[in-house]
Amino acid sequence: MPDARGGEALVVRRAGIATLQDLGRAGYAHMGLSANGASDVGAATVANLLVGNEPGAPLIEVTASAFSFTALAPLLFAVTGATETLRVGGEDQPVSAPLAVGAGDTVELAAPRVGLRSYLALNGDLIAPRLLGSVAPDRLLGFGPRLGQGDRIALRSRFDETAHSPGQVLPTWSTWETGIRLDEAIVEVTPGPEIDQFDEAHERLDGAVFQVSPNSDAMALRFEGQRLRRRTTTELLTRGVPVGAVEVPPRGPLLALLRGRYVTAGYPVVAIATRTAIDVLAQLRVGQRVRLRLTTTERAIRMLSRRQERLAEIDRRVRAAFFFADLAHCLSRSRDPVLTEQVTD
Amino acid sequence: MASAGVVRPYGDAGILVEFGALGRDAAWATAQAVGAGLLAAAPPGLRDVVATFDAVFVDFDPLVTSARQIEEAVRRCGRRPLPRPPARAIEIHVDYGGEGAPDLAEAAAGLGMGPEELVLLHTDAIWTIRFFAAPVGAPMMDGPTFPRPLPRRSEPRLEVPAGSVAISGHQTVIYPVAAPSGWQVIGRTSARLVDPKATPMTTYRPGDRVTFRA
Repeated sequence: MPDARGGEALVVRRAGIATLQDLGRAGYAHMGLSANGASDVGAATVANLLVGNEPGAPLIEVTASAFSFTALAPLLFAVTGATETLRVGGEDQPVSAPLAVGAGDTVELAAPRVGLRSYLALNGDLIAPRLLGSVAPDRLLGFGPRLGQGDRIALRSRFDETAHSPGQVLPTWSTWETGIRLDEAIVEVTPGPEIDQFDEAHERLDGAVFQVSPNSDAMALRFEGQRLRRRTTTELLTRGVPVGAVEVPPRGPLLALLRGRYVTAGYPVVAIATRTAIDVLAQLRVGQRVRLRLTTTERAIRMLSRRQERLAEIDRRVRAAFFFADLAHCLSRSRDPVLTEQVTD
Repeated sequence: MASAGVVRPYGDAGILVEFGALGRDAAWATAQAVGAGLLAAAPPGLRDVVATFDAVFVDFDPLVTSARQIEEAVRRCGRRPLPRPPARAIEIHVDYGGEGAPDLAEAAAGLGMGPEELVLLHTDAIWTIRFFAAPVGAPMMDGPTFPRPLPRRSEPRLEVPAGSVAISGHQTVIYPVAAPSGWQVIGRTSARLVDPKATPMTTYRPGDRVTFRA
């Protein structure tokens, strides 16, 4: 197998709001550290799988803005998430498909009309500083800058196909459904530990519609809508909270915690978004309507399992397509993908 | 002792184990023992463990393991707690005046005392670090009991400076980095608390005893 070639892969032309991300630094919550990482884990994983990378490989996350770059070497890349319009050398190309460009080609991602976050993955290993094993920015620690115009990104990759003309390399058959909706997004939640501290919370939350407030940020979305009435004023002791927790502060709108959230907090938790619903949260725009739906952990885990099966299918199809396109040497893993077995008891 | 924990689902990938019924010190010791034990045992599918004053939040991969299996791992940790390292004494110098203490007067009034009295209460006491809180390695402490629990601020601040010493309830925390906070800031320290690149990240750990010096 040829050695991976390392060098500058691209230069950023229009940066918008873009960062390097991966799946974050899990395993340090006992030190008070948030995992951070790509907000829409599903879309980021698909982008990496489409280019033959590990699901957790570093990639570029673009939020709410346009992004463009000029390739400095042959690149195999894919774009997923919110952006619908992708141009290579001025010509429209499909999203959610592996594409090839040569040195000097320019790639433009349009700002999304619907949804918030897009992902750009490149075949190979992005070379970037890591903190505790992850490239994911942590704003509180001051780690991980935003990308800027003129930034050059280095990459180690075995893709050197100058034979492919700019454009689509492999068929588009991604079966990935994003959670992106134009009007009302459904967010499935399970009941939280303090739900019974609130009057009629089950009835009030199930099917309730909220609006994403402009005060939302990378730590939490604020859901404007009905306020819940708590039966007690006793403050909770600080304790751990999961990503996706829906908190009820003493005043103001509900908070839905995102991946940048503090791992410890003290507001009552009335509900928690399911793992699949967190990807929906990641794509919500300010002003968008959200409808909560109470569900059970059993149903939530079944949905997560189905999502994992779809990802495994994409992975298998990509690997087969790479083989038939003489790109097998670019795949990051040499073993066959294994569908993680769900443990039941 | 861990069999006294109340276990509840906490999302589709987590459980919350609460030991509050054991009383303050026993609840904390049990939560810490379970937290340390889980991290050491590293059962398959474990992602994160957050042991706090009287509870443990366990984050896991539900496609690898299950809430029931994690609960069993929690019970096992309680039955065989790891030995705890000895507590050390730490002194932290704090400036309780000026722009570093924006909430001192209001917090004191909320406790029915003057600012000087609150500073005396804070510096006379021995505080015990209970766990590392957000944003990173923040020493979360308790010790003396205030006349009444101090509520969080009605409007959290978008950012408090690194080194801010803040109180809420009957607890004290120090922010190692500039970060959002809903607590009452009563002073500031220039002590360097956390280095995320170092092992260990902090020079203190749960169980250590802190005294503040004005």
